[in-house]
Amino acid sequence: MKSILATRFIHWKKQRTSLIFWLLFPIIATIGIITATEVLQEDTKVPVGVVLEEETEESKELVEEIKTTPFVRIREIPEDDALHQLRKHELDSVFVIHEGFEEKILENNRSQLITSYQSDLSFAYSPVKEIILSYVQQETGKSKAAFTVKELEQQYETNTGWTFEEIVIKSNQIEQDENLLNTAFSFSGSPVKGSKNTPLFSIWGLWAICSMLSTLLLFDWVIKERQSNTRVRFAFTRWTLKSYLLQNLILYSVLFFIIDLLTVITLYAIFGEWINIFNLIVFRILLSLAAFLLAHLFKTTYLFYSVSFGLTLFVTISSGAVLPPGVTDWFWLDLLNPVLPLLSGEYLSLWSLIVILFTIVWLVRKERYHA
Amino acid sequence: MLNIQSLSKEYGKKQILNSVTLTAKSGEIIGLVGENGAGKSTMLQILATLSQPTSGSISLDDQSYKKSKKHIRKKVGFVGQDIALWEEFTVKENMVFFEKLSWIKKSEVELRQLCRDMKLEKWDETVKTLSGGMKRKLNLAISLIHEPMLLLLDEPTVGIDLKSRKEIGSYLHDLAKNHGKMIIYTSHDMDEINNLCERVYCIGNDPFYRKLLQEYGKEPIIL
Repeated sequence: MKSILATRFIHWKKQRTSLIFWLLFPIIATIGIITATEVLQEDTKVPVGVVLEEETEESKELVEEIKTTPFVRIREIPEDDALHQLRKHELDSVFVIHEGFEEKILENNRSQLITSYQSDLSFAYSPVKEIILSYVQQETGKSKAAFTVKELEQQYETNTGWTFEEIVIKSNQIEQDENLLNTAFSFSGSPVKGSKNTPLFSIWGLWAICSMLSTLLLFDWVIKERQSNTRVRFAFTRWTLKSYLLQNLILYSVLFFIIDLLTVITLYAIFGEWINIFNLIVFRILLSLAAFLLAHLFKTTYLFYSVSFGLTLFVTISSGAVLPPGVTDWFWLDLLNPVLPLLSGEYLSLWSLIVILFTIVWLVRKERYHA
Repeated sequence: MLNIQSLSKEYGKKQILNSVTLTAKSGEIIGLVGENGAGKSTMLQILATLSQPTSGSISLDDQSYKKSKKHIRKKVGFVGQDIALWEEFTVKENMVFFEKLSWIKKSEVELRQLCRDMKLEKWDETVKTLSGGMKRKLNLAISLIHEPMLLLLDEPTVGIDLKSRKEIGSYLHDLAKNHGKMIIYTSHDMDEINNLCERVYCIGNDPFYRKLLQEYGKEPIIL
């Protein structure tokens, strides 16, 4: 293996630029696409101005709540600037949270808490207003509940020793435990993650597709070395051509896996996205084997590259990026999809069986030399 | 010693080699001539274990080709008509690459010396920038890394300049006479064959080659 590694290094040295490019392509493309879509999502959000006349827990929480409104971007600015920008239609609407907001909430007083402004072009005004109303309703409700508990305590002359804050915390906990409606979205069975800014694509799904393309293209060495005149020399070396190819397949798979592990760390650090390492190992082995076997079918790299791009496009479409899953009745497409087992962890698919079967056929097949 | 007995090869119904019998000793250079398609390359491929004969037997150093193909391959060096090199590698990288895969380990100094013996000095140059003659020399040098006792050369000097041709010829002569290698050589250049080979076998029944060999003063042996 040491000798094979030495020979492979000579090849890698000659093609280091393309090798490094295609090895790093999946991670760079994934980070690039996700970041670009996030920026795009951010840029397409409607700007809404919020004026904070007091910096209290309640007022800050309300701002955080408004920020959860889909497709709304909050700008915290002084009132004069906000109204000026509203006139110029640089802001969709403006909400002024007045001084004494927290105090009034705690006193269950709902009048004159917030002043809102809108223009004839405002369209984010209504959803934001609804969010504010529901928040105020919810918070004043909690205060009211706390006051009621305190009154009952006095009426029945009991002493539970509960403070006003403890009652509010308890009601928050009950609210969370008995949430009426909880929604979550996932892509092709990918793990569900609560996030304020959910990406448009599954990060690992996108990476897997990019990785499929780079793996296929980097396995062009199989064609170049099988079609080279040098293949006849393998009859007179320590290694047969088959053994040489097999050991190089292992080397490439290890190289890819090292890059995969770096990808796991990087994507976790940037997006907080994790993947099951065992799923990743199975995905890598099957993908490397498939690229290796596919390359055996070609005599020219040009045709192989064309097929590689075509297959990647096909998998991208059938993975739900263009045609949402369930639109077609072609369930067998899912069975043949190399990306789905990575995301779902279901390894026993038609895809894995086919790859294993063809690998066995390749291993038992006799090799021939042509001088 | 190489011993070939009643060797025949057929492709379908076409008989290429018909009951060929010959022997070669250490230090001998044997020439094979014949028209295109007569079976010279087929004969070399069979001797290089790259092709199977239809019938007959071959042994090298008393080891049968049928029984010990793997051991035979360690003793055989083959230089085909096509140049089998990595074009984008340098001379050094090509030598190191095939040394790493070889049964015999050689240092870089030894590999370089092998090239120098063949008057191939451009150690760090990329193969694609080399002349045809240099490429042929490197092609031959790589086939000698594992120190074969039988060297099979299929038109090794085709398309190269006279100087390189002479240098290769002189090197092959040295290999046979001073290092005891057996060399079987095919070529269409009758001057080359005449200068280098002690025995010349004529493959096929073409009277042209028989007559030509007689003109060069060689007794043709018909296979």
